[in-house]
Amino acid sequence: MNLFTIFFRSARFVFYSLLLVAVCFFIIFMFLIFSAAKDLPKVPSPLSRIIETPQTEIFAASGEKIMTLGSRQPVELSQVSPYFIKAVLATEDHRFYEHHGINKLRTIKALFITLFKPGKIQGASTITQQLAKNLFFSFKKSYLRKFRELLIAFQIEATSSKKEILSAYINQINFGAGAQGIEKASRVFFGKSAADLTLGEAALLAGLPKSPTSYNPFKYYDRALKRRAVVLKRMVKVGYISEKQAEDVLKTKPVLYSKHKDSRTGSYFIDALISRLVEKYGEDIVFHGGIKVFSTLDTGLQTIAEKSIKHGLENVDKMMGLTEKIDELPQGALVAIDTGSGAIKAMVGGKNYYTSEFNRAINSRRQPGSGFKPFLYYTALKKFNLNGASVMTDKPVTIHINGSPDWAPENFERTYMGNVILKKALALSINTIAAQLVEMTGPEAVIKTAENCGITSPLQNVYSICLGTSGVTPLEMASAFSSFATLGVKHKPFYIWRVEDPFGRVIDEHIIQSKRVMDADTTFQVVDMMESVINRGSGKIVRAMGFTRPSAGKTGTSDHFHDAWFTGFTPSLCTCVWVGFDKQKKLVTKNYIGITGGRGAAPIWTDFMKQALKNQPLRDFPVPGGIRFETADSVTGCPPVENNSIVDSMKSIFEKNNQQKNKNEVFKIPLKENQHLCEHGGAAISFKTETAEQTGAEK
Amino acid sequence: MKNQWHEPFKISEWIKRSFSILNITVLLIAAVFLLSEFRFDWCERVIGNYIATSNNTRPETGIIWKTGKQASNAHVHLNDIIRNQQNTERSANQASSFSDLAKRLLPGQWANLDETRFKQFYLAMPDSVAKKIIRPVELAWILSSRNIKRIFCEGKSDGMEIYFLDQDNRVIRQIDFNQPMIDQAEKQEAPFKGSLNDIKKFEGHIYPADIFFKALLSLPREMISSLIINPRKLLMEKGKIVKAGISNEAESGYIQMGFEFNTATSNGKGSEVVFIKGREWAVWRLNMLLAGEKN
Repeated sequence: MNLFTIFFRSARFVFYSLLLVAVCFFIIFMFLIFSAAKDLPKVPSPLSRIIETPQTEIFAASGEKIMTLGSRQPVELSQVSPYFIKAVLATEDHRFYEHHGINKLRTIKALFITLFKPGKIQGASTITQQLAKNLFFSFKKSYLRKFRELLIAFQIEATSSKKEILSAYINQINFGAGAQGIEKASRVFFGKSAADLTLGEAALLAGLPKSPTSYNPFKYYDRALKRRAVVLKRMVKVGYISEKQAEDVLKTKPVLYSKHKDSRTGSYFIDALISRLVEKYGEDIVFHGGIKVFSTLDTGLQTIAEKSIKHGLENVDKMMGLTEKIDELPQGALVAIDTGSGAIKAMVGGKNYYTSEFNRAINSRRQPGSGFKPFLYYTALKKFNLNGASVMTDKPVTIHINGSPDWAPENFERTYMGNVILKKALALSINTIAAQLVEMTGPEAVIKTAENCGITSPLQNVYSICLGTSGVTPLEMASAFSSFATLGVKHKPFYIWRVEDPFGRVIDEHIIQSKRVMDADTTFQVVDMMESVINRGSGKIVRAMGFTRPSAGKTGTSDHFHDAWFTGFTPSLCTCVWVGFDKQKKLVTKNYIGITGGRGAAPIWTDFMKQALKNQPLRDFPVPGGIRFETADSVTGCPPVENNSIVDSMKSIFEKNNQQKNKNEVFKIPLKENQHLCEHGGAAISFKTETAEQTGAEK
Repeated sequence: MKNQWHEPFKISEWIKRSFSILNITVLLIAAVFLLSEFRFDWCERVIGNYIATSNNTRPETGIIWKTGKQASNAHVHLNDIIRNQQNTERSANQASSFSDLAKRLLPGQWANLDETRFKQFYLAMPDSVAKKIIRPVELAWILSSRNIKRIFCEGKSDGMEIYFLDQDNRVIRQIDFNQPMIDQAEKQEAPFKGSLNDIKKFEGHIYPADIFFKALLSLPREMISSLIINPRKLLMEKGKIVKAGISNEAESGYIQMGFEFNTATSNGKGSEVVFIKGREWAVWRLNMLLAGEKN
């Protein structure tokens, strides 16, 4: 056998083998097509049907649209900047107008690389294939899925024009940040229509679909710019733009639309609102029903709230000497409620929604500390007909509890001031007085008051409840303190005024129901005490910062400075601010001084309230008909008369015996018709049980 | 004849055989097949068109159809909500009294009641129950002095809540129309089984229906509406009115009238009396007319 024979034999063998393989491959391919064709998903006709899902719209209280859900805002190709079309074609599929669903050369090249260059995978999907995948298939990678996707791409190409395909593609593509479709992406990222995109902006957007999360310009601006450079390079290579144009664009940095950034996933308020809607109507109606939701959100107040929290927490970081790069930083929350209706006007659930979506305003139960005392004071005043001038003794207190160790709460300052009227005791947040009051009322009564006012978290039946040892949320605190602002009338907090179907028919609406939960006279007395917290007590920073409106509130600091609270209100707006770490970590300054509610939360509250009420008329708390005012001495609770013998004698006794640190101050006291000053002749009220035997009461 | 095939021994023979017509044809066909596919994409077109033929019979699966189904579910659910709401409103509009309305509203269902109908129901109620719901003076004050936008009724497990709402949907006054009240109202609103002659307070003021209505219809139109405040009650009753009577007692500016209906029962003929209240001054006027007819 000569060489020629071998050569020709081999050539013949190879040729017929290849032919056989080709025929087999063809038969298998045809078989696959026939079998796969049955189970392929139906393709909608016309293709534009894919963008017909109605969008749910969420409006602010002012009627301004703040968000759309499930929307794509479809646009015609003619309404899109040609730069974007070119950028997408250059990046994703520059032979789009030439192929019929598959770019064969690119596919062969990609197959070669994938098979023969280990570790490297080359994609070769055309725009039509991507559209098929996005519309019908999961993102699970498999050869069968790829094949089915290819067949659908062939069908789309066979039944639709290139214009229809491209239009469908750009209207359904995901750009991240909640933006699907080019029009929405353009509005989300640049606050403008897709028709107005510049080359730089269009190139940036065209680069996002490859990995919307990792190229999200709101989070990774530099990464997004690098990706934009790749897109521009492709555009130059394909010949859509000149090198000069690309260079000019590379020198510029597109300005992102900061306003839309916050309404991306709706911020904390919209998250909470959507959860409630889903709870009530289910996901189908909320995301695909095209309903119109009229929320209670006041966009102006929301912006102020976000700024106040941001600046306030930056100040706390400074006080603590923390820097973002090294340390875990404290978080904050703010809820503002319209006292007259219960409408939630603003809500901030954390420092930055984009770094932590956990909504602390409604989901984080933290100890309110002394912020809980108003419920105790109301209970005691009501039950024992006390008033702001009733005198108690600030002294070391030990409460004996059957079966448990004694409870001996201490004052924040670790000092005692002797006899003091209740108004001053609340203003200065004296713990020993609170302990004596809870011993008088029992914890159950305090819990009942708190629950009546709007606290819904489970509260422990323990004496220390008066010092706020049971966790509550900022929303509950704001809602419960609203009941004080309205002098005892409770309104349930709510997010939604009205829900309409796509045709404007009302399917749900909120009715403002008022329920009297506390008596007006006693509530007014407590509110008066809470005004003194701001005027001369633990919350006096509010006045120092220049907030002069009639307002009342209470600071709160939990054990070991884990939480700093301030909840306060004017007659029309009640706001609660919480500051603390997500973990149980102390809020302490660089010099290891604890950060209290007065230092950490009250400045944020003040900053917010000053701006929120800027153009509102001044309103004082209404005085109930049965209330009259008298002035009383802060030590004796009697009228501050110089030559009052009883007062003088009482003063001298306490000055000698208690080494009193309490300065005599004069307080204006609201009294009910059946109440008088100096009822006990200036002596302190004492209520002493041998052991605390209230059912279930523990330390 | 038997052909003996053998391998070529010469190169020329190999070449000759290689470039035979058959081989060239096969090669050409293969080349044309490949090149035309690369040039004209006919393979994709054929497959695409073939697959398109079965499009209508294929399942609506995939993300886009799922989304479509969700939209369609949402549409159906929303329509259900609206339909239920409209049914409730329709049913509420057919109610003849507060008790009837409370029965028609299931817990969670609601309907708006216009001011005129509210007054109609209220005035048709027995005084003792009406006073418990809301004092007439307070009602008059609420309806006239405050900015009432609507009256909203919401069903609950034991009756219904009635809310007077202002334009901000703020509840100005809330009335709890509970089960004991419904029972009490029904008891007093229920028709009397028997004849007008059996009720003492109508003694001496019982008239045949044709005389009664003839006199009534001769009164000015506005007076008739003050006389029979809730005519629906009469229209809803089965049977024919045979007698009508006017009570001898007046209460809070109203006088009760009784209408005796002939009702056919399985036991034969029967009768029952339906009570309706009319304003005192209008009833007196009617009474005078009827007294004149009698004389």
